[in-house]
Amino acid sequence: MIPHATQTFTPIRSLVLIDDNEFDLTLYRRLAERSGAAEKVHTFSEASVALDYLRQGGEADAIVLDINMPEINGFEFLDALTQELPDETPPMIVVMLTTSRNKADVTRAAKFPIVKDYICKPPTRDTFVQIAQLTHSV
Amino acid sequence: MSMSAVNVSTSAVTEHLPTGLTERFGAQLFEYLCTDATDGLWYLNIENPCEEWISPAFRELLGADPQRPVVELIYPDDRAVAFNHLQNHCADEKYRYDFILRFTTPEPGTISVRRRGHAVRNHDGRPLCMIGSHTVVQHPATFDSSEQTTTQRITELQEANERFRLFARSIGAGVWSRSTANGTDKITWTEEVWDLLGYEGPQEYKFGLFREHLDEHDRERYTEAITLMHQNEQPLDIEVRAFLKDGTRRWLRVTAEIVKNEDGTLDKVVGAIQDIEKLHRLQTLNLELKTALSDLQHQSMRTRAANEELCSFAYASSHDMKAPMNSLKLILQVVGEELDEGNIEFARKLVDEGANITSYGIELVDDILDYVQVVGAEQTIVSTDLSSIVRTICDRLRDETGFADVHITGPLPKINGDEKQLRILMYHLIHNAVKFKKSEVLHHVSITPIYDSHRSGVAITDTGIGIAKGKQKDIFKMFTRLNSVAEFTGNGLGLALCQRIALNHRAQIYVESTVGTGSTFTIWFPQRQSN
Repeated sequence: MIPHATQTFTPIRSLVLIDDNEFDLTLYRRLAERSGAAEKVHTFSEASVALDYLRQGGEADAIVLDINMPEINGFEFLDALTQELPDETPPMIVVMLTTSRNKADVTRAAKFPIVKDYICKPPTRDTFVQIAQLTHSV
Repeated sequence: MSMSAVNVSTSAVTEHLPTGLTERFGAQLFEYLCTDATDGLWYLNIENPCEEWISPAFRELLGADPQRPVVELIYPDDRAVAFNHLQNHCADEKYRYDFILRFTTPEPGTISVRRRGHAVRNHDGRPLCMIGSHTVVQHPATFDSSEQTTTQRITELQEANERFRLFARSIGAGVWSRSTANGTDKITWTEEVWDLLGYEGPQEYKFGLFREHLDEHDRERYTEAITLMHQNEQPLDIEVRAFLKDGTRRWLRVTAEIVKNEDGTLDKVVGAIQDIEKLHRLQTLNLELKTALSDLQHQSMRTRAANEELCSFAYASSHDMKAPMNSLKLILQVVGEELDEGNIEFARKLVDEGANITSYGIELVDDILDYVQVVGAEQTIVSTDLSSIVRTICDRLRDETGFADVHITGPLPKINGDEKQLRILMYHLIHNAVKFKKSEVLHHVSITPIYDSHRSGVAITDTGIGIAKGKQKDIFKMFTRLNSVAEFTGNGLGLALCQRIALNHRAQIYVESTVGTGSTFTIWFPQRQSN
């Protein structure tokens, strides 16, 4: 069994996962749900649909965001998110999900205060637990 | 009248000149004046004729009082002539101030002196002063026609002649002349010319002999040059190839000047023939070295560019090669859990997906290998028929995808290029055209040959999904994908590879596209169609 399954932590209410690879996304959802890190898990294979969700007041305590995506990539999503969301929006964090730690990408992500971490694929159950803990600590 | 006296005189004149003039006319002018200035120099301020000067040695020769103006030293009958020459030269720079003038001597009598001079002018061309030289040409008082003196003079002349020939030999040259004096027309070569052409000692020159030695490719050019020299009265300077007596070929430089009589008729032509074979070889070698150097520089530039490209490529590709690995790792993780929980059916599905991802990974590695080979490899350029390449590709795509509606509108051009690279290029362009379709039924692809005055190429048009204007510049970048994998497979390498192949062939590739209507990819090769 997974050693951390017994570890105590408070789940977050809503976790948003954005990645253009739909198959991977299905597995992320499965891992996230089983980790018990969030009460609700929302997945989006297109960043624009995720933006629409947030614009319409969709809940998100933490967003796990892929960088390389067609149409709107991770950074374009961040630009839109930070410009459009009103100040009274409940606090949320963004964790970048990427294939490798590209120095330029890390630097670029660090310019967005909302980005709190930068993790490499593939995520595990632990990853989602850590994201929940990080969200509470902010 | 020794050289040292002349040198002293020169510096004495220099001191008299207004500041800046020596810098302006300096070395060249004085060199001209000092030639033959065996009896010193003279100077006259045109604006203030009282300011004049002649070499003290010359004044002494005339036995003249140091205070006596120069004009009074000139033989009275010649003063008007001297004045005329001065006026003409001042009015026209091209008018040569060079004539024989008689000076009076203390004993009743004259000496003939060659007087040469040159006006120093200001920026407007207005003469400021004259500088010149004197050479005594006949000195009745000292002229000695005794046999002893004549012998001495002949010896001197022979010595001078010898020195001249030594000089000519030292630069690998011989002297030739053509004399038309006294109604004759005779060409003479010095021993050196005969030597140069491989003869043993001087011979009787027969008209046309030199021309016979010339390489037949150079004969006409040589005759033309000689004709031009006589027509335009300009010096001859031509490089020709000549065969020596032993059959070897050499580069020779032939120069000549026309010498005219006082009445303007041709007196003679005097010139030199110089062996410039070594010089020519050096020049050829130099040219070859320069070409080799420039080739090397180009090669090194290409290598550097390829290295840089491969570095950035390795970075980008390692990133994208990790993606299928990541997915596999994820699948294995989940499969483990599903098996633990007894979800055999879902685990099975994941394993199948894992197999697909592995195939994708293998394909990606193949494409990356293609790319690396295209960037770094030496190209083998052959005439390649795009028609036959395209037909093979279409057959292959029909087998792979079942899509058959590819229309080739005419014979495609033959391109001088690397066949393997052209195959990869055409494959990706046609594959893309087939792949990005809106629906099964309405999709058409056409491949059209295109030509203009200096190029030939191919246009590939599809009725597919099209590309948004803002994204068109990105499609040739490595690992750029515009569509999700779920809709269209691909790794974002194909068009980057096409772009690279186009670059290797100095071809231009570009796209015109409208979303929802389709795209046309055009590639132009900088070659005219040769049949």
